[in-house]
Amino acid sequence: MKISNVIFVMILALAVAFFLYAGDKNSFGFIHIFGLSMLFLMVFNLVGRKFKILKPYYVSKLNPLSIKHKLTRDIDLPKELLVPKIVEALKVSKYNVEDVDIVKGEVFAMSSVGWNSWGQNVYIDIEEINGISRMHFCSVEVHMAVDWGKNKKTYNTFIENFEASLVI
Amino acid sequence: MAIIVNLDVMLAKRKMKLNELSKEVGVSVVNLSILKQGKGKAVRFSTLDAICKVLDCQPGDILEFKADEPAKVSSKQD
Repeated sequence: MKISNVIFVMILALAVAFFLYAGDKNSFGFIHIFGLSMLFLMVFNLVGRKFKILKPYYVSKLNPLSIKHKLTRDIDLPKELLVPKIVEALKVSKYNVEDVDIVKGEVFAMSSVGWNSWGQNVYIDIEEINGISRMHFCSVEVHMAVDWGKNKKTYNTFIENFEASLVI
Repeated sequence: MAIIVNLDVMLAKRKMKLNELSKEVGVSVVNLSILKQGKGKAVRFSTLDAICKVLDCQPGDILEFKADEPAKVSSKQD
């Protein structure tokens, strides 16, 4: 967990606390605007995460409000075979595969929102280098600024299922 | 790799296409392609059994062991 993220969450918690306890003041100050902004952001993330067009926003390093886990791995399979196997592994990992582009080598999947999860987005890009496919895996917790290890767990589960899918 | 998959040779002998084998065996074309290219991690006995039944062959016709050539080490003798 990055220290900057912890500081950010602490500031956020303080801001929310101020917003709740400073309600008796009739002024519509900074704290109210900040609180409303956070509320807007939450709603925006709930709706916006479903759209692939917002991938650059969620994957960007400049977005500290959605913690992400990026990993790269070389796999000795052509793109045409790798993409269907990735889709298979994601489905076994209980992800909803939203978009697949074999030509571009892009896969977009989401986990649904539940009692123990705000949902995650998974973006996978594949590029071919000298006959070997390089897989760029990015797992994003859209509503979380702090990583409690869930993204890494997602990656490990996905890789386990991917390896298992290579047993034919 | 020491194990060579000769599935393409057997398919050619039986004049069968991969998608036809896929339908007969019940294994996806993607999985059979991975097997054919020798990129799979392992083969289930059930898969091997089904392939051998359809292609009317022995497991040895599909899988072959070729020992890797040891690296040549040049040494000077006095």
